[in-house]
Amino acid sequence: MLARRLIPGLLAGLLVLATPIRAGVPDAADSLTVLSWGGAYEHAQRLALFTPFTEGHDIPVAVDSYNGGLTELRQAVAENDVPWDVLDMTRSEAMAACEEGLLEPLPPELAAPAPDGTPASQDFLPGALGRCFISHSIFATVVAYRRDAFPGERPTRIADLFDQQRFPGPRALQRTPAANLEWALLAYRVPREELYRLLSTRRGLDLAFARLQSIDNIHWWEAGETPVRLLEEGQVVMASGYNGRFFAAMVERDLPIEILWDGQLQEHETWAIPRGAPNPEAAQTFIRFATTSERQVELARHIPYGPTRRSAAMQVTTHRDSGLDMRLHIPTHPINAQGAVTKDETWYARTQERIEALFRETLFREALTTQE
Amino acid sequence: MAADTSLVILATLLVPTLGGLLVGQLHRGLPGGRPHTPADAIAAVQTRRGRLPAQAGALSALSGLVSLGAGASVGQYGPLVHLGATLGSLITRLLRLGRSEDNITIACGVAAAIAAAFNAPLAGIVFAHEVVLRHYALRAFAPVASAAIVGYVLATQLLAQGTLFHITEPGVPQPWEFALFLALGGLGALVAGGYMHAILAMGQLAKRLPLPTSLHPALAGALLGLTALWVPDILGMGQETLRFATLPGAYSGGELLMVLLLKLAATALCLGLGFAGGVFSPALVIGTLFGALAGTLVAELRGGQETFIFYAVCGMVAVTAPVLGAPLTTLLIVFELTGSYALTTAALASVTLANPLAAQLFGRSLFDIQLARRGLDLSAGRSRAVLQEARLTELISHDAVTLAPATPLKAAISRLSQAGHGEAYLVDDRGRYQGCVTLAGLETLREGSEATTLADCPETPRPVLDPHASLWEAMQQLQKVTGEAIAVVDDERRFLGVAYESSIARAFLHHSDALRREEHGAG
Repeated sequence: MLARRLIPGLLAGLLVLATPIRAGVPDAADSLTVLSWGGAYEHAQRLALFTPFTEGHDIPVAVDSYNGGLTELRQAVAENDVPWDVLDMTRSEAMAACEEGLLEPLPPELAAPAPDGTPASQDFLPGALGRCFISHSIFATVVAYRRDAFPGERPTRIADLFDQQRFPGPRALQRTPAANLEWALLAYRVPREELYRLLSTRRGLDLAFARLQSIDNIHWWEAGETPVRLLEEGQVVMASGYNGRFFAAMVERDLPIEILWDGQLQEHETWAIPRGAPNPEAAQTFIRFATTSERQVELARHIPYGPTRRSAAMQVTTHRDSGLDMRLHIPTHPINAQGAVTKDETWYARTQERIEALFRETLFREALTTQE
Repeated sequence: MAADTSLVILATLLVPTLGGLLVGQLHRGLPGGRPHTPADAIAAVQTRRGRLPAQAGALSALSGLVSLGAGASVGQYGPLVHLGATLGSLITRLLRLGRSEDNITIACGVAAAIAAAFNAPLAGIVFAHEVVLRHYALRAFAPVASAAIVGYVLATQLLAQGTLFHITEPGVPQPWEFALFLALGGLGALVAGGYMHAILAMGQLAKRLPLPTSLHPALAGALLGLTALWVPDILGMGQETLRFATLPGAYSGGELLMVLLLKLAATALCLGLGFAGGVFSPALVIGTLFGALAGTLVAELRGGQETFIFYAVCGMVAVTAPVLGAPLTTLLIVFELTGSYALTTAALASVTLANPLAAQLFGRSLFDIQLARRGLDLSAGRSRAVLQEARLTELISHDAVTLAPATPLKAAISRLSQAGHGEAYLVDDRGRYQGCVTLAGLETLREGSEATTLADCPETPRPVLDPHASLWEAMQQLQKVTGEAIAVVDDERRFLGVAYESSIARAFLHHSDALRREEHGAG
């Protein structure tokens, strides 16, 4: 009883307290805190996005980093103490967070039109503009192989991952159902449009597991750097992994590896604004700036991620440091994208737990010995 | 996991059973107690009776929906086609158009349904012509084509429906493999015959079941659910089963054979015991399983599975085309769904043998066999069907001389002369027809014999007609008669009137003319 009477009073008091503080520190509205993934990725974003934004709009950008997940965001929103203005999230997490009401809905006209005037809704790839998010880049889980492992013949199709007669040697795969199940069914020549429909049946899953179990000597990895190391050390001849990591290993460390683009599993990376962000207006300004064609093109000069705008994809040029033609290294380039699969995040959101349980149960009861 | 498993078992058993129960109740509201199917639309067009009842159409569509939702092994295209036909017929009635227009709007509804369901407008147009109209007239083509285009555009744009069937780069078959595709067509015709006769036989068996008809679908549902616990692939339309069957190695040869036989049995069970639904989708599945089985055998013998998909698709068309009686439609569906010319030509080899063989052995299509069993024989074409459906009733004339058998010869002759008729019909005091006399016959008798009353006259043998006889039967009888008219008598030989030869001939010409105008008229 007492609490019920007290709370409105308390809130009113807080408001009175808060108002003068806000009014007293006007430049607080003119700084921006971005939550991103750290490392080389964040470095590229700083060069292509954060610094130019500060120069153009006179708003300093502070960067926080995380490893994905919604726990911190959930807690911050619940406590009404959100320290970030802009979030860099995978699309599946952005979708989930939007469902939970952790994100601010974005105005539909937020994304700028293409330089030639094409409206954003036509310029962005399908599924890139969400209610609470805008996809800014596309990365892929791909298979890479050691160039020196198969003299005379090179893998060209994802089915070659499972063909140890023509391409002998151990493989490294991520210890998740994602990508592995898709690739296993692609190896049966399932058209990519029908992957998730067939994976929704018991027979489809059984076929996929059978194909995975037919591989001799799998090293299952969890950390993103492991497949690169396994390839480097020659412990495996083919490995799945993120295209950005393989690119860095090829360009910066000159590893003799090659990416097999067939069957690449594409995922979106998005910008979103958390509910209760301190500076939502500056956040919107930043997102509009960072998703223009020009900025997307610039970002692709630092990391091999595909722009989500058609107008930007057409203009991708060379790598800033090495001068390599980046078009050949981004997942969305027409040559690379021929056999691309777009990860069905709604399907995973619905089935994740069951599929993962089945994956562990089927593959790891007898595969524990070969686990890395 | 354990709770999940028992839930799945429970659902597999209960959903088809309860669905069957509901379907059985729905069918009590339908004339004939059975769901209406494309066969009814075909009959309406072929006999020029038109007018598909809206209520029966809506109820049939609803029970098709429930049947499919309950997982019965039936197809979705039959109810869709019948719904399209019913809507077409409804529009004619709303606009108060004639019979010929009714046939065209029914065909339009059918074409739109197929175009929308398969994203295949060409197949829709050809299906309407090949299966429903069964003639090609320019005046029907334009409306049917527009309906198909609208259906296609709505399906792709508004419903954003993707293609049903994707194929990843089929290889190129060896020339000698076309001989196998042809042979596959012949064997496929036999599978199609087995499939059609299983459905019909189950329908016959159902009549002898000691169970009310409205409970039949529930029984079928329970049996289906029980089998599905063991082989779940037989449930529903079977789109996933079909997809897996086109993948080399997804099923072993033994599994293919088992699923094929069980799917055939399950479809016969569901359709025979009264679930509402089409015969097309299950035929696609059975055909694909059959083709995959052939493909597996070929792969065993020669090694290599590059052309596996060809066998699966050839098997699919070889079974489906005879069931529908629609070789061109089936080919176009393959072409429009896969966009592969190589697959379409292989399929062509199969239907070339499959359709004529099945037509010789079993009949033009399952629809035709069903209609023939209901008394409508379409095997001799539309003109005969129209005559068979046209009733004699409206031709019966009462303008005839009837005489009692006791009438004296002289009085009979003067009655006939006054009436200006050449024939008289003998009707006794209880109204029974006793025979027929001609003026010429009576004159001969008066001059040369002892006879004094008509009863003494020698009988002129003449066939009689039943009042419910068709125009076709009347035409048949007419060939045995030289005279003015044929007497029409009921089951107890009560005299009802006569059908004049000239009015039978006039009616025949009238119907032929209407058909000719419908089929050959330009605008």
